Amino acid sequence: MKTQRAGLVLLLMLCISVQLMAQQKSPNPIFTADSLASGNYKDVLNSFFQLGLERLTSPDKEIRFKGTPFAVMAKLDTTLLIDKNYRNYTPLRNLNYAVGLRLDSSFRFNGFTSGITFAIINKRDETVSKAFLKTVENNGRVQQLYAANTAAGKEISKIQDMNVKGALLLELDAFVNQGTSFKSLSPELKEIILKAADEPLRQELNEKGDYNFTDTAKAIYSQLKEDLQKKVLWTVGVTDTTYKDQFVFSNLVLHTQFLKGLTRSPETTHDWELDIQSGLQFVDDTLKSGRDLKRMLFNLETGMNVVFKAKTTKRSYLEIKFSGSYYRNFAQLYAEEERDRLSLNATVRLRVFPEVWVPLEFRYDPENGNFLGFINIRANFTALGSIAKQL
Amino acid sequence: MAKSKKAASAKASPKKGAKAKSSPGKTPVSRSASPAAPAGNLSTEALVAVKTAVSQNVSIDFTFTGGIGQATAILFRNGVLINMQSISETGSIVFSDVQSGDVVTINGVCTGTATVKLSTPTIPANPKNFPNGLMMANFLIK
Repeated sequence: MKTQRAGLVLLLMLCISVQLMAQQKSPNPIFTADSLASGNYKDVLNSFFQLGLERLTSPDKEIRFKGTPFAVMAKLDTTLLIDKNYRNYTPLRNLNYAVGLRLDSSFRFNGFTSGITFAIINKRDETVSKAFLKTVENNGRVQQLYAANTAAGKEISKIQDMNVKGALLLELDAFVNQGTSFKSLSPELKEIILKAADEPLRQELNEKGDYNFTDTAKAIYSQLKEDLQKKVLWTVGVTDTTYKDQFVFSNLVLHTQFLKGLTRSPETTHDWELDIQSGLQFVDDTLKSGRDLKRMLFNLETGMNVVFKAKTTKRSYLEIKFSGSYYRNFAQLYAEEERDRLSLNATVRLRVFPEVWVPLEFRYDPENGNFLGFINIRANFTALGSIAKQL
Repeated sequence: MAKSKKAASAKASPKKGAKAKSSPGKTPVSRSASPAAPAGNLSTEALVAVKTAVSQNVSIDFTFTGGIGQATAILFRNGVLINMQSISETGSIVFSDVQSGDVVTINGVCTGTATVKLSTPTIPANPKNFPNGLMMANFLIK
């Protein structure tokens, strides 16, 4: 934990000091702390809290807090996390809100930001998916482990000596739940487990002396959970910004995003994910006196995210996203402004610690030859588990 | 899983409104009198759950938090499946006529965290907490 914190501080300092190449604009570093979970879709829809410091090296900085109403409610009443209540609040967990303060170069107040995002379709939330439970229980390898656990319990129940029975069950628990390897077990328990295991598992136990039941169970579950992360996520939302001297909107954005994994094979070491996002932005027309939201800008970005995963753990260590963006200005054009604009984008996301990502973003405008670069930092923490422990 | 094996005569009574299912079988009838036969004895007495002076009702409480879950509890005595019940949300399973030396096997899955608590002392000790993932355990009734 200390190492992660030190790494985070180091990366934050790096984020502040590094000026990435940019021809027109200053870099746009972002530090984000997602307090619930990892996973690509958490960038689109976070499940608990997210604290962000944006554009730290730019004159316009922002401190932003994101959360869900359910997170606040669960903090106040932890019984909401019990499954019967938890399931009932699924729509509320699919709603994110964000509030933020904009700061100028001297860190003085420069306006408020706020927004909400709602997941119209969220098939990636395994925590409330009965279908996911069925998938796990019907998985062949899971059934092998269940059968071995059951048969071992049955075999041990035949022993008459309570002390021997108790000792074997403690040892079995260490094997099943605490990561003790097969080779470390007593010969008696080894014999019972080999007798209890189905043929494929028995073969694995014989071939791999250091077979780890706990890790195997975790790996199977993680793989099945990862497969669920390829399902559809579609969000819509609205974000606004106010002026610093008046609580009136200076900017309003309607946005939507669609994510869908395209890789089907669970054995692959790289996944492909379709990422489509679009926004309609309303801003003040500075050619006209007064404050209004009459300038309307549209953008559409379609991209493909490639996730590279480690062969054994299946944990992603590198992601590369290629995308193309289209912008259209529906309002009256300013001098030297273009009605339509295209850009090519690439994001390289590198995992530096288990919960810390460093995404590098590049944007190229083929018409003007402009090349922009951004560096972001995102850290994920599991907070829900610690709250559940308070129960 | 050996679902075909029937609970010979143990009572099964899920409580607290939990969605618990008993394994298929005849209406359970408790028998009083003689103690359980030793292992390896295939007489009728060996295959039947027998209510004795030391029989007790054991409640197994499942609590799923931060997600959902489901689990199956199986009661073994001398290598014989006495009772099997499943639960698909937070609640309790009750095994009647449980005796010292019986083994309760748990198999299940939870998407958040889960706690399994038996109403009697066991080896390994309970309550037992599980993180998200597969839940597997065996408890010896003391």
